[in-house]
Amino acid sequence: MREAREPASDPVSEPPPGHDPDRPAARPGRRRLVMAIYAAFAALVIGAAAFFSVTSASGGSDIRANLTLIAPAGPGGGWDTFQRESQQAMRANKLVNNVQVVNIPGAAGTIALGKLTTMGGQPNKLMVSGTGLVAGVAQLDAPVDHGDATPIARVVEEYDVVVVKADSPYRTLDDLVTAWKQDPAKVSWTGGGTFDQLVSTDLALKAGIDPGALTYIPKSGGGEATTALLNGTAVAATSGYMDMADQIEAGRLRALGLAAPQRLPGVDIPTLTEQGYETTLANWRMVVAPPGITAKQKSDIVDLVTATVATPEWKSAQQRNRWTPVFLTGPELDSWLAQEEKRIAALVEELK
Amino acid sequence: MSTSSTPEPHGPTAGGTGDQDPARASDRPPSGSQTPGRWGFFTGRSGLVIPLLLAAFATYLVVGNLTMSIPKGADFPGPTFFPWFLAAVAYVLAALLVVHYLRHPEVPAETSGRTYTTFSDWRAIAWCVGGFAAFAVLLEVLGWVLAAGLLFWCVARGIGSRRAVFDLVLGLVVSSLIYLTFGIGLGLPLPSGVFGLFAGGN
Amino acid sequence: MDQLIALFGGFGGALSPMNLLWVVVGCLLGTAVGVVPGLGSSMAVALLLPLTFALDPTGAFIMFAGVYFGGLFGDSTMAILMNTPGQGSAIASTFEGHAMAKSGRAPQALATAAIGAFVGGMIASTVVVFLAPKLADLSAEFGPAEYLALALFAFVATSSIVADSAVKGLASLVLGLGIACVGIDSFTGTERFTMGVPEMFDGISIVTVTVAILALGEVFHVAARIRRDPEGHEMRLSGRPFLSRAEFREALPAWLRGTAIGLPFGIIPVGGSEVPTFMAYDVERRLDRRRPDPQFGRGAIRGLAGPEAAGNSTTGMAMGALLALGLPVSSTAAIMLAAFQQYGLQPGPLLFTRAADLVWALLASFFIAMIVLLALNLPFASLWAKLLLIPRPYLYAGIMVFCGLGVYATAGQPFDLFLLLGLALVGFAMRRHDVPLAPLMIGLVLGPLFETSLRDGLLSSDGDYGVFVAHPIPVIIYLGLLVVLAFVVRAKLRARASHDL
Repeated sequence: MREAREPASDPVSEPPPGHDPDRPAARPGRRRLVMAIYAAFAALVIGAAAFFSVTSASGGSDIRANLTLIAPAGPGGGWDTFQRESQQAMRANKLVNNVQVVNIPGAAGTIALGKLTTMGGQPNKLMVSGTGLVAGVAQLDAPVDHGDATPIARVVEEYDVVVVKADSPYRTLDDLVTAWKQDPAKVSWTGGGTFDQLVSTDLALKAGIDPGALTYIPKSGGGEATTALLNGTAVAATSGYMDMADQIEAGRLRALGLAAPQRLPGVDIPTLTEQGYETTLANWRMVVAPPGITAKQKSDIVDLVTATVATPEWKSAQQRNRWTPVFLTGPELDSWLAQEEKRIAALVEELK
Repeated sequence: MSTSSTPEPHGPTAGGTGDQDPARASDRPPSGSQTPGRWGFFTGRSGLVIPLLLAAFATYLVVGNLTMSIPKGADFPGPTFFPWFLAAVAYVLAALLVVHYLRHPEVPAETSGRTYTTFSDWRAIAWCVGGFAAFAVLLEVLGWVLAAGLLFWCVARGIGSRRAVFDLVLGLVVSSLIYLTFGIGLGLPLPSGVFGLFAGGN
Repeated sequence: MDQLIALFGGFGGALSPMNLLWVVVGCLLGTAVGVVPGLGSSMAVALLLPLTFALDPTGAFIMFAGVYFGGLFGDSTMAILMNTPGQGSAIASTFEGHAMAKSGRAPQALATAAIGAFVGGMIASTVVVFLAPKLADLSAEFGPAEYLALALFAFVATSSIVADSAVKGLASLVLGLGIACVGIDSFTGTERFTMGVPEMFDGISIVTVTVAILALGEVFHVAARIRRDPEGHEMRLSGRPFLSRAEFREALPAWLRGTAIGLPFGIIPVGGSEVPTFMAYDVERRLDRRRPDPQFGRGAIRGLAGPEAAGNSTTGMAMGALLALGLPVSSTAAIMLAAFQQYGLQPGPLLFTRAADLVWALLASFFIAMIVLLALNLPFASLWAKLLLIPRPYLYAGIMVFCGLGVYATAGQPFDLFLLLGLALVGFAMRRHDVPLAPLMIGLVLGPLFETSLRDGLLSSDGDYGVFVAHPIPVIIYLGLLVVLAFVVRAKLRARASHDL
């Protein structure tokens, strides 16, 4: 049997790949020395890993010592950005000693929400949630919802903008809606995600069009939605203003209305409400903690989030990402959330 | 090696860049002819597992299509159109493959000169597969360092290493190094597992 | 000319001793992460991104460019040495690259890959510098009709990989197309073939499939055979670490052809760089068959040089598309987009006017990173090849551990590990019975593109099939398709005997 001999030739540890395993040890003494060095190295490495395994699991209830920020989506998206900006702000101002971001993507964020609800009593795990996750819970009939966790605070929100191609015949929202009413199949819509689809559904409802007749071509992300408009696949789009702003400014797209409660400072786009369609669904971001935490722990987290959003780093993040601050916590948050869940679930029902 | 005249036993691995002509393969004398008693109908026909797999997958698609809840008013082609097409093609291909394997049994080339009762080394595979299954089950219980060390040990053993203690230490060194570089250094979330029980905290 | 002056300005900002240190660090880290199966370049970028935040923008960009391209350079290393590609874009490199390694030419194969990646990346970066603003208009031409035509074209253009054994190849393709159907259908929100498992709602990630079918499946396959015929699994290393002049001359045209194939794919999102790498491999293989002494099947240097150059020119161009359009065509690009925004760079049509100095420093960093990587990787090629001297049990055990790491780390779900194991057993069965695996990967990439374009087009035209031939580009692609098909048929009729060795 050959196989028994080959690996036995020399105790070479894996990492230094330059080592030649075929060379037999010169003297037994040297061999023993090599083994001793290897044993010491192994003990050191394994010991260090064990030590860090223990320390990374500790930290317990002290949110200021060791904090995990959960993004319920993969790297690069809106939720991930929110958590990484929070991490930056907390780090730069030493609000938390050790803070890391963990991505738990999948099923519109409901997988991460499900995980969060199993982390009962661990206040140092904070997840970001948002309109899309509330919609995901309703759409997928997820076994858990936000009532199974501890909502902490609504922090920021973003708004969608209704856009068409720059050379589109529809110059105003009314033009577009008139044509849409006449033949819903001819005016196809697009957008970068579930939230965008909800906004166009809401607009259809407010304009008196059957949402079931809405032709919606789903794209992933504002970039793809832009392309779908530019190459004529879709006639109109609802998509995040952040993703569209440069295209609008560069004259490639035309903005017809902003799905926001009021105009944004420095942005000359009328709201949908101004134009007679009361569509104000916002893409909000909320911090959520696991269930089963004490009132003291909850107020500590609220303090931490409050301190984070007051940092200059966070202010700059708001500006860069065009987030509108809408901080809300306490009992007002709970009643607002209950209302919002009802409204979103009703819209999702229209998609089914 | 490039001028060697012996046929490569595993030339076509990922892409099938080599000779797959079944007629030519059957020209070779079966190397296991010394032990004819052990050779039955399925000898050389274990490839039937491929059409079986394909038919099972097609059935999965069909069942999925039939039980799918499609929302009202979905335009053609809806979510089931493409899978229906694939399932139909898969059944046809599975039938063709069954015919292929019945008519051209595969005779594996043996280069070691020894013959075995099975072409594949099932014990080695069992170590590797079992090791990985154990890793998947135990990862969050034992933690990265122990689970990955165990996986390393199982695979090394399956592939032929016989130095149990040395391998175990080596496995732990490798998993620890990975833990230190990727978990601690780069911040990948690798579970602590049982080590968490020693942690202070609450 | 303006671009040149601006670019030199960028070099002036980027070339400082400190920045050079950062680029070297970035290249090394990127390569190290890129080598791990399942982590690859996108994970390299995501993991190492936070490290760059501590630096000033120029320093961060230059380190970033190092990480980005370092990850790409690292991708193919394991594919060549161990036949276990970590990413879809490295699959085409395994065919001839691993054959080269088996015949004792591992260092040369790695050098070929490194130079190929360099050539592709350099040319792509140059094109980006001069044409970036014009790319925006081109990509706007591509709608569902164009994508559908392109998907069909790509199926045919990679057909030689499928056609070795038509029935087995098609079976593999159908499996890939079927796996791609799993997940929530974005058009209707319907769950398809998920069995109600939330982890499958987003579909089965291509990373999981790649690692399972190609890397884990290979380990199982080796385990099944290595004690049966140890000789067949021996690796040799020749003493000569570099390419000879003849080898270089042999590979050069393939590098250039690969680059040309890869460039256009960077602008249009066709699911990363897998498609162009397969197409480049296909082209080289067809050309090889016409030569008096065909090399394919036993380690043809061209079969490695083409795909490597194609893959990197695609990713290089994708960076241009990202900058000029603000369109992230891959997950890596999406992460990069987030990074740029961190420094107040908003990629898109206004980028070059609004933040010119930063953009040019970034583009200059690409060139610097590419040169540093080549300088690092050529000497490292023989060092990497020494990995083959590690005893087999430990080498494969290490690969298994890294596969587990790569797949678990991306999402932190043990479920993915079980999925990985199940798919790996499928991959093992396919390998055991000589069913080619590449068609499965092609199906996985092209299937969704085909289905989405078809349904996009029909939705936007309200069910009118005429939309697919209403524009000139798809018509031209279909005509090209007919020409290619005619050639294939003619070649089949003329010489049925022209086999690989």
